[in-house]
Amino acid sequence: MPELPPIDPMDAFIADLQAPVDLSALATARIMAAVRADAARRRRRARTWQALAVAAVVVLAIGIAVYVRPADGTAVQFALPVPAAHEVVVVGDFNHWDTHATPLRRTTNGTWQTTVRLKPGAHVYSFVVDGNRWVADPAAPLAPGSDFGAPNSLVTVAPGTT
Amino acid sequence: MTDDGAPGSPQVVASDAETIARVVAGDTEAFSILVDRYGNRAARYATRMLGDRAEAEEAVQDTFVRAYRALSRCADRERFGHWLFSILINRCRTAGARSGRRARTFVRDETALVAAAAPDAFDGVAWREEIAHALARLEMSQREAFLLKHVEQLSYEEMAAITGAGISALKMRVKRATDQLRMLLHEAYSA
Repeated sequence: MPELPPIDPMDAFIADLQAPVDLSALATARIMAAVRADAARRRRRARTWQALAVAAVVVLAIGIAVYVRPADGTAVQFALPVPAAHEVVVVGDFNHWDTHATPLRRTTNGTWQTTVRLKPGAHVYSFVVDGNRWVADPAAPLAPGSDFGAPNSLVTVAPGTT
Repeated sequence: MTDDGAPGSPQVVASDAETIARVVAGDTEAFSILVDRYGNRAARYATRMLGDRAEAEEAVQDTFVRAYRALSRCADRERFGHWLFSILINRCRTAGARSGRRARTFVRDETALVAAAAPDAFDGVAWREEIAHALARLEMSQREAFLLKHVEQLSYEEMAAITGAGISALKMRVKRATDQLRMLLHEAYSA
């Protein structure tokens, strides 16, 4: 019977180290529990972000809608050629006769003008020059009853115009 | 780089890449396939490296959870095993540095005792304890290189990819570890 070769201690040592080590069922369960918990956290986080994104889109859409929505009414330009005036405003039923609501701007040729959006219908108005002088619009018809009080003008906005 | 499967009827086994794709797509339970596939091997490395079974299991658990969280960043999904080991190695380095437990780098188990083939005249348990001390006395980088080369049987190229160390450095570490272990084993035999 042939003699067996001697065992190299290093080979035996390595064989020992190579012996299997099983990961315990408990460790496996803990890994999967941690993974499931992490996945659930991620899903919650994703839902939160999704909700925030939807909210942001809604807010943005509302903002855009408000911002780009065409203003109500028809643009009507008021103008009064009074080069020597220091201040001109237009008052009327559309601004509740408020002498501070709608000032006009002086242009280079001395005409004062502004644009107001008016709803369809007839509107009575007047200019107030330098705070105390009421002036009817020379380019518009006088409003009924102007003969008996302050000279008011009349502008009529037809429905469907912009 | 996979654990050996149990014998049985042939069945189609999902590749690592296919399994990872399922997990990333939301099938969390598919991750257990990867745990089953690599868990034992990771446990063996961590146990040999850290010398403490409980600490090793903690390191393996942490490694798998970290891997899960970073799974979408696994560049080469077919080499998930190597990627996982790179995480495990770092985790073991941290644990090893933290614990400072260098005296218990070997854990006894009955299977290994049978496979140890210790010399007849030498008491197996005592011999194994000597070996445990020998392994523990290696520098951590040498122990790491020795285990990857001779226990996990990786090539130097694979070891370099996993550890980030150069091939020459790894060869040197393995050689020094082997030389020191031979010397320590010789002392153990001679005692």
